[in-house]
Amino acid sequence: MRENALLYITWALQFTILAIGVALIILGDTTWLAACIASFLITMLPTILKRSARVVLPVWMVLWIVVSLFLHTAGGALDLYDKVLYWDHITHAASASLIAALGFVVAITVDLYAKSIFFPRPFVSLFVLMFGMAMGVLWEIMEFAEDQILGTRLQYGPSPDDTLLDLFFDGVASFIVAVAVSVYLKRVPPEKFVKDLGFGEAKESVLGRIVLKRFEKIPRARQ
Amino acid sequence: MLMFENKTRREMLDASLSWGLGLVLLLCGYVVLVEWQAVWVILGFVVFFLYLLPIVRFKDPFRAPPWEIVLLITIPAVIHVLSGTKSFGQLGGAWADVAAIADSFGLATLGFLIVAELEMYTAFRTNRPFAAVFVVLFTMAVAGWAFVVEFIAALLYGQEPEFIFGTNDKIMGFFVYTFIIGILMGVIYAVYVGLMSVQHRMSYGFEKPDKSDQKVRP
Repeated sequence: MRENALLYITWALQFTILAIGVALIILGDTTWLAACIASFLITMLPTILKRSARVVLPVWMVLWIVVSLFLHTAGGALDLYDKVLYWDHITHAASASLIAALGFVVAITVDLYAKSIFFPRPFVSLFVLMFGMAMGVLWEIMEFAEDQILGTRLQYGPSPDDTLLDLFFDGVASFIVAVAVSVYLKRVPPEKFVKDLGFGEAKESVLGRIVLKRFEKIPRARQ
Repeated sequence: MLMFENKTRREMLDASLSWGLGLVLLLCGYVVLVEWQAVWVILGFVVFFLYLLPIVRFKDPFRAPPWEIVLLITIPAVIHVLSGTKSFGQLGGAWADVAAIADSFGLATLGFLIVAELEMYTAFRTNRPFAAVFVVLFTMAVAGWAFVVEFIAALLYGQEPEFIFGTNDKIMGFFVYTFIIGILMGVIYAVYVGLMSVQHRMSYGFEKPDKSDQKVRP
Protein backbone atom coordinates (compact mmCIF):
# COMPACT_ATOMS: atom_id res chain seq x y z
CA MET A 1 0.00 0.00 0.00
CA ARG A 2 2.75 2.41 0.97
CA GLU A 3 4.67 1.61 -2.20
CA ASN A 4 1.51 2.20 -4.23
CA ALA A 5 1.06 5.63 -2.67
CA LEU A 6 4.61 6.57 -3.66
CA LEU A 7 3.89 5.31 -7.16
CA TYR A 8 0.77 7.47 -7.50
CA ILE A 9 2.64 10.57 -6.34
CA THR A 10 5.32 9.78 -8.93
CA TRP A 11 2.72 9.52 -11.71
CA ALA A 12 1.01 12.73 -10.60
CA LEU A 13 4.29 14.66 -10.71
CA GLN A 14 5.19 13.15 -14.10
CA PHE A 15 1.79 14.20 -15.43
CA THR A 16 2.29 17.71 -14.05
CA ILE A 17 5.63 18.02 -15.82
CA LEU A 18 3.91 16.96 -19.06
CA ALA A 19 1.04 19.40 -18.42
CA ILE A 20 3.52 22.26 -17.89
CA GLY A 21 5.09 21.31 -21.23
CA VAL A 22 1.73 21.41 -23.02
CA ALA A 23 0.88 24.72 -21.36
CA LEU A 24 4.21 26.17 -22.51
CA ILE A 25 3.48 25.10 -26.10
CA ILE A 26 0.01 26.68 -25.98
CA LEU A 27 1.40 29.89 -24.51
CA GLY A 28 4.20 29.90 -27.08
CA ASP A 29 6.85 30.28 -24.39
CA THR A 30 9.84 28.24 -25.53
CA THR A 31 12.52 29.23 -23.00
CA TRP A 32 11.85 26.29 -20.69
CA LEU A 33 10.21 23.93 -23.20
CA ALA A 34 13.42 22.00 -23.95
CA ALA A 35 14.15 21.53 -20.25
CA CYS A 36 10.59 20.37 -19.70
CA ILE A 37 10.68 17.77 -22.48
CA ALA A 38 14.11 16.57 -21.36
CA SER A 39 12.90 16.25 -17.77
CA PHE A 40 9.87 14.24 -18.82
CA LEU A 41 12.02 11.90 -20.90
CA ILE A 42 14.39 11.39 -17.96
CA THR A 43 11.49 10.54 -15.66
CA MET A 44 10.56 7.85 -18.20
CA LEU A 45 14.02 6.29 -17.92
CA PRO A 46 13.25 4.04 -14.91
CA THR A 47 10.29 2.60 -16.83
CA ILE A 48 12.42 2.03 -19.92
CA LEU A 49 15.14 0.42 -17.79
CA LYS A 50 12.57 -1.89 -16.27
CA ARG A 51 11.18 -2.93 -19.65
CA SER A 52 14.33 -3.37 -21.70
CA ALA A 53 17.06 -4.08 -19.16
CA ARG A 54 14.89 -5.56 -16.40
CA VAL A 55 16.53 -3.30 -13.81
CA VAL A 56 14.04 -2.24 -11.16
CA LEU A 57 14.97 0.93 -9.29
CA PRO A 58 13.42 1.21 -5.80
CA VAL A 59 10.15 3.18 -5.81
CA TRP A 60 11.51 5.84 -3.45
CA MET A 61 14.43 6.44 -5.80
CA VAL A 62 12.14 6.90 -8.81
CA LEU A 63 10.10 9.37 -6.75
CA TRP A 64 13.30 11.18 -5.81
CA ILE A 65 14.24 11.50 -9.50
CA VAL A 66 10.80 12.82 -10.43
CA VAL A 67 10.64 15.28 -7.49
CA SER A 68 13.98 16.90 -8.27
CA LEU A 69 13.14 17.24 -11.96
CA PHE A 70 9.70 18.58 -11.06
CA LEU A 71 11.24 21.23 -8.81
CA HIS A 72 13.53 22.21 -11.68
CA THR A 73 10.92 22.47 -14.45
CA ALA A 74 8.18 23.97 -12.31
CA GLY A 75 10.70 26.46 -10.95
CA GLY A 76 11.75 27.47 -14.43
CA ALA A 77 8.31 27.60 -16.07
CA LEU A 78 6.56 29.38 -13.20
CA ASP A 79 9.46 31.77 -12.50
CA LEU A 80 9.88 30.33 -9.01
CA TYR A 81 13.66 30.50 -9.44
CA ASP A 82 13.40 34.29 -9.33
CA LYS A 83 10.35 34.67 -7.11
CA VAL A 84 10.97 32.23 -4.28
CA LEU A 85 13.98 32.91 -2.09
CA TYR A 86 16.43 29.99 -2.08
CA TRP A 87 14.44 28.01 -4.73
CA ASP A 88 17.62 27.68 -6.75
CA HIS A 89 19.45 26.23 -3.77
CA ILE A 90 16.62 23.89 -2.75
CA THR A 91 16.59 22.38 -6.25
CA HIS A 92 20.36 22.13 -6.08
CA ALA A 93 20.20 20.24 -2.80
CA ALA A 94 17.46 17.94 -4.17
CA SER A 95 19.33 17.10 -7.36
CA ALA A 96 22.73 16.86 -5.64
CA SER A 97 21.37 14.34 -3.13
CA LEU A 98 19.82 12.39 -6.01
CA ILE A 99 23.09 12.36 -7.94
CA ALA A 100 24.94 11.26 -4.80
CA ALA A 101 22.42 8.43 -4.31
CA LEU A 102 22.78 7.35 -7.93
CA GLY A 103 26.55 7.42 -7.37
CA PHE A 104 25.98 5.00 -4.50
CA VAL A 105 23.95 2.63 -6.69
CA VAL A 106 26.60 2.70 -9.42
CA ALA A 107 29.44 2.19 -6.91
CA ILE A 108 28.03 -0.88 -5.17
CA THR A 109 26.84 -2.42 -8.44
CA VAL A 110 30.23 -2.02 -10.08
CA ASP A 111 31.85 -3.35 -6.90
CA LEU A 112 29.72 -6.46 -7.00
CA TYR A 113 29.91 -7.26 -10.71
CA ALA A 114 33.31 -6.07 -11.96
CA LYS A 115 35.97 -8.62 -11.15
CA SER A 116 38.94 -6.25 -10.95
CA ILE A 117 37.22 -3.86 -8.55
CA PHE A 118 36.79 -3.91 -4.79
CA PHE A 119 35.38 -0.97 -2.81
CA PRO A 120 35.64 -1.22 0.97
CA ARG A 121 32.52 0.12 2.69
CA PRO A 122 34.08 3.34 4.02
CA PHE A 123 35.18 4.06 0.46
CA VAL A 124 31.58 3.85 -0.78
CA SER A 125 30.64 6.66 1.64
CA LEU A 126 33.70 8.70 0.65
CA PHE A 127 32.81 8.15 -3.00
CA VAL A 128 29.25 9.39 -2.44
CA LEU A 129 30.58 12.49 -0.65
CA MET A 130 33.03 13.26 -3.47
CA PHE A 131 30.76 12.27 -6.37
CA GLY A 132 27.95 14.61 -5.27
CA MET A 133 30.32 17.54 -4.95
CA ALA A 134 32.18 16.79 -8.20
CA MET A 135 28.90 16.71 -10.13
CA GLY A 136 27.90 19.97 -8.41
CA VAL A 137 31.08 21.64 -9.67
CA LEU A 138 30.52 20.26 -13.17
CA TRP A 139 26.96 21.62 -13.05
CA GLU A 140 28.32 25.08 -12.15
CA ILE A 141 30.75 24.87 -15.07
CA MET A 142 27.80 24.02 -17.31
CA GLU A 143 25.80 26.98 -15.98
CA PHE A 144 28.82 29.22 -16.49
CA ALA A 145 29.25 28.00 -20.06
CA GLU A 146 25.56 28.63 -20.75
CA ASP A 147 25.85 32.15 -19.33
CA GLN A 148 28.90 32.86 -21.48
CA ILE A 149 27.62 31.34 -24.72
CA LEU A 150 23.87 31.98 -24.62
CA GLY A 151 24.01 35.15 -22.52
CA THR A 152 21.65 33.80 -19.84
CA ARG A 153 22.03 34.78 -16.18
CA LEU A 154 21.89 31.38 -14.43
CA GLN A 155 24.62 32.46 -12.02
CA TYR A 156 23.20 35.96 -11.42
CA GLY A 157 26.06 38.06 -12.67
CA PRO A 158 29.37 39.17 -11.23
CA SER A 159 28.80 38.33 -7.55
CA PRO A 160 30.13 34.88 -6.56
CA ASP A 161 27.40 34.36 -3.93
CA ASP A 162 25.12 32.21 -6.10
CA THR A 163 27.85 29.78 -7.12
CA LEU A 164 29.14 29.50 -3.56
CA LEU A 165 25.69 28.93 -2.05
CA ASP A 166 24.92 26.31 -4.72
CA LEU A 167 28.12 24.47 -3.84
CA PHE A 168 27.37 24.80 -0.14
CA PHE A 169 23.97 23.12 -0.60
CA ASP A 170 25.49 20.47 -2.88
CA GLY A 171 27.96 19.78 -0.09
CA VAL A 172 25.31 19.54 2.63
CA ALA A 173 23.19 17.20 0.48
CA SER A 174 26.13 14.93 -0.40
CA PHE A 175 27.19 14.84 3.24
CA ILE A 176 23.72 13.77 4.40
CA VAL A 177 23.51 11.06 1.73
CA ALA A 178 27.05 9.85 2.60
CA VAL A 179 26.09 9.51 6.28
CA ALA A 180 22.83 7.78 5.32
CA VAL A 181 24.75 5.40 3.06
CA SER A 182 27.21 4.43 5.79
CA VAL A 183 24.35 3.77 8.24
CA TYR A 184 22.40 1.87 5.57
CA LEU A 185 25.35 -0.33 4.61
CA LYS A 186 25.78 -1.38 8.22
CA ARG A 187 22.23 -2.76 8.28
CA VAL A 188 21.65 -4.05 4.77
CA PRO A 189 24.36 -6.00 2.95
CA PRO A 190 25.02 -4.41 -0.46
CA GLU A 191 24.41 -7.79 -2.05
CA LYS A 192 20.77 -7.60 -1.03
CA PHE A 193 20.33 -4.06 -2.34
CA VAL A 194 21.83 -4.97 -5.71
CA LYS A 195 19.77 -8.16 -5.85
CA ASP A 196 16.59 -6.12 -5.29
CA LEU A 197 17.58 -3.93 -8.20
CA GLY A 198 17.23 -7.05 -10.33
CA PHE A 199 20.72 -6.93 -11.81
CA GLY A 200 20.85 -10.72 -11.62
CA GLU A 201 18.11 -10.88 -14.23
CA ALA A 202 19.50 -7.84 -15.99
CA LYS A 203 22.66 -9.81 -16.74
CA GLU A 204 20.59 -12.01 -19.03
CA SER A 205 19.09 -9.10 -20.98
CA VAL A 206 20.66 -7.78 -24.17
CA LEU A 207 21.90 -4.55 -22.59
CA GLY A 208 23.30 -6.43 -19.62
CA ARG A 209 25.25 -8.79 -21.85
CA ILE A 210 26.85 -5.87 -23.71
CA VAL A 211 27.91 -4.16 -20.47
CA LEU A 212 29.26 -7.36 -18.92
CA LYS A 213 31.24 -8.18 -22.06
CA ARG A 214 32.95 -4.81 -21.76
CA PHE A 215 33.99 -5.58 -18.18
CA GLU A 216 35.25 -9.04 -18.93
CA LYS A 217 37.59 -7.68 -21.59
CA ILE A 218 39.55 -5.75 -18.98
CA PRO A 219 42.35 -8.09 -17.90
CA ARG A 220 42.46 -8.87 -14.24
CA ALA A 221 45.27 -6.88 -12.63
CA ARG A 222 46.59 -9.76 -10.59
CA GLN A 223 48.71 -12.91 -10.52
CA MET B 1 70.46 0.05 11.63
CA LEU B 2 68.61 -3.15 11.07
CA MET B 3 65.87 -1.81 8.86
CA PHE B 4 68.28 -0.55 6.17
CA GLU B 5 70.17 -3.81 5.87
CA ASN B 6 67.85 -5.87 3.70
CA LYS B 7 66.99 -3.06 1.30
CA THR B 8 68.14 -3.06 -2.30
CA ARG B 9 69.94 -0.09 -3.82
CA ARG B 10 66.84 0.78 -5.83
CA GLU B 11 64.60 0.77 -2.75
CA MET B 12 67.04 2.97 -0.83
CA LEU B 13 67.20 5.45 -3.73
CA ASP B 14 63.40 5.56 -4.13
CA ALA B 15 62.85 6.07 -0.42
CA SER B 16 65.57 8.75 -0.06
CA LEU B 17 64.15 10.72 -2.98
CA SER B 18 60.70 10.54 -1.38
CA TRP B 19 62.01 11.76 1.99
CA GLY B 20 64.01 14.56 0.33
CA LEU B 21 60.97 15.79 -1.58
CA GLY B 22 58.92 15.46 1.62
CA LEU B 23 61.37 17.89 3.26
CA VAL B 24 60.94 20.32 0.34
CA LEU B 25 57.19 20.06 0.89
CA LEU B 26 57.64 20.77 4.60
CA LEU B 27 59.76 23.82 3.76
CA CYS B 28 57.06 25.16 1.40
CA GLY B 29 54.54 24.57 4.18
CA TYR B 30 56.73 26.58 6.55
CA VAL B 31 56.90 29.51 4.12
CA VAL B 32 53.11 29.71 3.62
CA LEU B 33 52.63 29.32 7.38
CA VAL B 34 54.95 32.23 8.15
CA GLU B 35 53.27 34.39 5.50
CA TRP B 36 49.90 33.09 6.78
CA GLN B 37 48.21 32.26 3.49
CA ALA B 38 45.38 30.38 5.18
CA VAL B 39 44.18 28.34 2.17
CA TRP B 40 47.67 27.14 1.34
CA VAL B 41 48.38 26.36 4.98
CA ILE B 42 45.32 24.06 5.09
CA LEU B 43 46.24 22.51 1.72
CA GLY B 44 49.82 22.00 2.89
CA PHE B 45 48.65 20.52 6.16
CA VAL B 46 46.36 18.02 4.39
CA VAL B 47 49.06 17.03 1.89
CA PHE B 48 51.70 16.60 4.59
CA PHE B 49 49.24 14.62 6.70
CA LEU B 50 48.62 12.31 3.72
CA TYR B 51 52.39 12.02 3.24
CA LEU B 52 53.00 11.00 6.86
CA LEU B 53 49.90 8.83 7.25
CA PRO B 54 51.26 5.60 5.70
CA ILE B 55 54.62 6.02 7.49
CA VAL B 56 52.91 6.34 10.86
CA ARG B 57 50.25 3.75 10.08
CA PHE B 58 52.74 1.02 9.11
CA LYS B 59 55.54 2.32 11.39
CA ASP B 60 57.86 1.99 8.40
CA PRO B 61 59.55 4.98 6.71
CA PHE B 62 59.92 2.89 3.56
CA ARG B 63 56.14 2.97 3.08
CA ALA B 64 56.29 6.70 2.24
CA PRO B 65 54.45 7.64 -0.99
CA PRO B 66 56.58 7.03 -4.13
CA TRP B 67 58.88 9.92 -4.99
CA GLU B 68 57.30 10.35 -8.44
CA ILE B 69 54.01 11.25 -6.79
CA VAL B 70 55.65 13.47 -4.16
CA LEU B 71 57.51 15.27 -6.96
CA LEU B 72 54.21 15.92 -8.72
CA ILE B 73 52.86 17.49 -5.52
CA THR B 74 56.02 19.47 -4.84
CA ILE B 75 56.09 21.21 -8.24
CA PRO B 76 52.99 23.44 -7.75
CA ALA B 77 53.97 24.10 -4.12
CA VAL B 78 57.44 25.29 -5.14
CA ILE B 79 56.02 27.38 -7.99
CA HIS B 80 53.57 29.00 -5.59
CA VAL B 81 56.24 29.77 -2.99
CA LEU B 82 58.66 31.12 -5.63
CA SER B 83 56.00 33.40 -7.13
CA GLY B 84 55.78 35.08 -3.73
CA THR B 85 59.49 35.91 -3.68
CA LYS B 86 60.92 39.22 -4.83
CA SER B 87 62.97 38.00 -7.77
CA PHE B 88 60.31 35.67 -9.24
CA GLY B 89 57.32 37.81 -8.28
CA GLN B 90 58.44 40.62 -10.56
CA LEU B 91 58.80 38.44 -13.65
CA GLY B 92 55.17 38.73 -14.78
CA GLY B 93 54.20 37.65 -18.29
CA ALA B 94 54.25 33.89 -18.87
CA TRP B 95 55.44 33.28 -15.31
CA ALA B 96 52.28 34.89 -13.90
CA ASP B 97 50.19 32.45 -15.98
CA VAL B 98 52.24 29.52 -14.72
CA ALA B 99 51.78 30.71 -11.12
CA ALA B 100 48.02 31.05 -11.65
CA ILE B 101 47.76 27.54 -13.06
CA ALA B 102 49.83 26.23 -10.13
CA ASP B 103 46.89 26.99 -7.83
CA SER B 104 44.58 24.64 -9.75
CA PHE B 105 47.44 22.20 -10.16
CA GLY B 106 47.94 22.11 -6.38
CA LEU B 107 44.37 21.00 -5.74
CA ALA B 108 44.49 18.51 -8.61
CA THR B 109 47.54 16.78 -7.10
CA LEU B 110 45.55 16.28 -3.92
CA GLY B 111 42.90 14.27 -5.82
CA PHE B 112 45.73 12.28 -7.39
CA LEU B 113 47.33 11.61 -4.00
CA ILE B 114 44.05 10.44 -2.40
CA VAL B 115 43.36 7.89 -5.17
CA ALA B 116 47.00 6.69 -5.14
CA GLU B 117 47.00 6.22 -1.35
CA LEU B 118 43.66 4.41 -1.45
CA GLU B 119 45.09 2.00 -4.01
CA MET B 120 48.41 1.56 -2.27
CA TYR B 121 47.49 1.34 1.38
CA THR B 122 43.89 0.12 1.66
CA ALA B 123 41.87 -2.86 0.48
CA PHE B 124 40.44 -0.64 -2.28
CA ARG B 125 41.08 -2.12 -5.70
CA THR B 126 40.22 -0.80 -9.13
CA ASN B 127 41.23 -1.09 -12.75
CA ARG B 128 43.04 1.66 -14.63
CA PRO B 129 40.16 3.31 -16.53
CA PHE B 130 38.20 3.61 -13.28
CA ALA B 131 41.27 4.92 -11.43
CA ALA B 132 41.62 7.69 -14.02
CA VAL B 133 37.93 8.58 -13.63
CA PHE B 134 38.33 8.65 -9.84
CA VAL B 135 41.27 11.06 -10.14
CA VAL B 136 39.15 13.47 -12.23
CA LEU B 137 36.15 13.13 -9.87
CA PHE B 138 38.22 13.59 -6.72
CA THR B 139 40.02 16.59 -8.18
CA MET B 140 36.72 18.33 -8.93
CA ALA B 141 35.35 17.35 -5.53
CA VAL B 142 38.42 18.60 -3.65
CA ALA B 143 38.13 21.94 -5.49
CA GLY B 144 34.44 22.16 -4.62
CA TRP B 145 34.93 21.27 -0.95
CA ALA B 146 37.86 23.71 -0.67
CA PHE B 147 35.57 26.53 -1.81
CA VAL B 148 32.77 25.46 0.53
CA VAL B 149 35.16 25.47 3.50
CA GLU B 150 36.53 28.89 2.50
CA PHE B 151 32.99 30.18 2.05
CA ILE B 152 31.91 29.00 5.50
CA ALA B 153 35.07 30.50 7.01
CA ALA B 154 34.36 33.83 5.28
CA LEU B 155 30.80 33.85 6.65
CA LEU B 156 31.98 32.96 10.16
CA TYR B 157 34.45 35.85 10.13
CA GLY B 158 31.71 38.13 8.81
CA GLN B 159 33.50 38.93 5.58
CA GLU B 160 31.89 39.58 2.21
CA PRO B 161 32.43 36.54 -0.06
CA GLU B 162 33.10 38.88 -2.96
CA PHE B 163 35.97 40.44 -1.03
CA ILE B 164 37.61 37.03 -0.52
CA PHE B 165 36.86 35.30 -3.81
CA GLY B 166 36.63 38.14 -6.32
CA THR B 167 34.06 37.95 -9.10
CA ASN B 168 32.12 34.87 -10.14
CA ASP B 169 34.13 34.70 -13.37
CA LYS B 170 37.30 34.30 -11.34
CA ILE B 171 35.92 31.29 -9.42
CA MET B 172 34.52 29.69 -12.55
CA GLY B 173 37.80 30.24 -14.39
CA PHE B 174 39.49 28.39 -11.55
CA PHE B 175 37.03 25.50 -11.83
CA VAL B 176 37.47 25.26 -15.59
CA TYR B 177 41.26 25.16 -15.16
CA THR B 178 40.86 22.53 -12.43
CA PHE B 179 38.65 20.42 -14.69
CA ILE B 180 41.18 20.47 -17.53
CA ILE B 181 44.10 19.78 -15.20
CA GLY B 182 42.04 17.05 -13.46
CA ILE B 183 41.58 15.23 -16.78
CA LEU B 184 45.30 15.63 -17.44
CA MET B 185 46.03 14.17 -13.98
CA GLY B 186 43.75 11.20 -14.66
CA VAL B 187 45.70 10.44 -17.84
CA ILE B 188 49.02 10.89 -16.01
CA TYR B 189 47.83 8.48 -13.30
CA ALA B 190 46.84 5.77 -15.78
CA VAL B 191 50.11 6.16 -17.71
CA TYR B 192 52.19 6.26 -14.51
CA VAL B 193 50.73 3.03 -13.13
CA GLY B 194 50.78 1.44 -16.58
CA LEU B 195 54.49 2.14 -17.14
CA MET B 196 55.55 0.61 -13.82
CA SER B 197 56.94 -2.90 -13.86
CA VAL B 198 54.71 -5.55 -12.28
CA GLN B 199 57.30 -6.08 -9.54
CA HIS B 200 57.38 -2.37 -8.74
CA ARG B 201 53.60 -2.18 -8.78
CA MET B 202 53.43 -5.06 -6.32
CA SER B 203 55.96 -3.51 -3.93
CA TYR B 204 54.08 -0.17 -3.96
CA GLY B 205 50.77 -1.96 -3.55
CA PHE B 206 49.16 -0.81 -6.82
CA GLU B 207 48.61 -4.48 -7.48
CA LYS B 208 47.61 -6.89 -4.77
CA PRO B 209 47.70 -10.63 -4.42
CA ASP B 210 44.35 -12.26 -5.15
CA LYS B 211 41.93 -11.86 -2.29
CA SER B 212 38.72 -13.05 -3.88
CA ASP B 213 37.51 -14.31 -0.50
CA GLN B 214 37.01 -10.64 0.43
CA LYS B 215 34.16 -10.45 -2.01
CA VAL B 216 30.89 -12.27 -1.81
CA ARG B 217 29.40 -12.75 -5.24
CA PRO B 218 25.75 -13.43 -5.95
